[in-house]
Amino acid sequence: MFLIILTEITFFSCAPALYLPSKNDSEQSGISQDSLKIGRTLYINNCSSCHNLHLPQQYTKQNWDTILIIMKIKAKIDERKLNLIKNYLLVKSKK
Amino acid sequence: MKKLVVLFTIASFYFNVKAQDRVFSYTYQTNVLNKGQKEIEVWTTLKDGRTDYYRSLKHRLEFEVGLGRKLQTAFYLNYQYSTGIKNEDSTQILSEKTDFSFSNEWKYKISDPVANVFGSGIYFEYSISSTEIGIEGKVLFDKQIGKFITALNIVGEYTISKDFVTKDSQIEVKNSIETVNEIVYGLSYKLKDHLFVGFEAFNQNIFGKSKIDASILSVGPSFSYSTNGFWINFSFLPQVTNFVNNKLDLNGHEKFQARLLFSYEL
Repeated sequence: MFLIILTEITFFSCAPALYLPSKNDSEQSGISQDSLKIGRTLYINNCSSCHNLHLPQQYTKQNWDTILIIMKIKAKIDERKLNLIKNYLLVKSKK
Repeated sequence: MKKLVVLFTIASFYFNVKAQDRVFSYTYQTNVLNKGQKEIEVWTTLKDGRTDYYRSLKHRLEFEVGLGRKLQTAFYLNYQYSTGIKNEDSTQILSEKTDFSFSNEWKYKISDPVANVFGSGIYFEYSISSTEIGIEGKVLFDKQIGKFITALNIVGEYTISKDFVTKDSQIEVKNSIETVNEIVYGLSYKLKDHLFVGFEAFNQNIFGKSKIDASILSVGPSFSYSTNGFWINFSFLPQVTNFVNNKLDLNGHEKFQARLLFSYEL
């Protein structure tokens, strides 16, 4: 019984840890909501097969810039896709 | 100084993504290896402490390979040995068993623990030895919330084994079937970049012909440490109760079990 309650709380009561772009995010960043959503999908598809995803707020803009240079080569991501991923990550990066 | 900080960030990120994300010994998570990525895992499970003397050790050598973005397979070589005192017709006998087997697992990730509301996946394994054939299916769930990782597995196992009975000068072979259902839960907290501590709970339900024979709950601490291309997990699970009679069951089950896993990325 205890395990069932614990499971319900931990698994089903929370939204995804990885943020879903809102209108507010779009207005604040000046990037369209659709573009941010595409960036999120690309981030999941290109990165989650190799490792658990890191949340945008884990790293600063400067950290993400450097990390993405390495991951672009490692995961063979083209420039257009990388920019969409970067836009999505930087909206909520560590200030 | 600034350059040094950036270099350190890159290095720690790179090492983090290289390391496996598995943090439990008994509970499976949904993550799979990337296509072409390979790992060797060495498992050791110790079970000890029945009313009469009993100890068993099971070793598994696993070769794991990623086949696609969501699929992985693994091959196991299993070696198990046990020594214990058994009661047969009011006489105690010393029972020593050794068993070699081969297993093959398939794991498919359905959703991601960070990107989706929760991670999910399915798992299938079959095993074969000279006296046993077994199949095992699992439904896997996991979730990452900040520094916490939690996972739940619902497991079903079906094993057919051969019993050999000597009658006069002949040996009779009989099939015996065991059905086991397990619920395995783990919760772990990231203490440092490479160190997780938490607990695991393991509820094993063993079914007889028409009723449940035992429902054993074991709960205990778990630890996980990972570094570049290597990780090690350890869990110690003492038996808490048998739900069938709400007492410890030390006749057919052990006082505790412990599992050590270590792995190298190839």
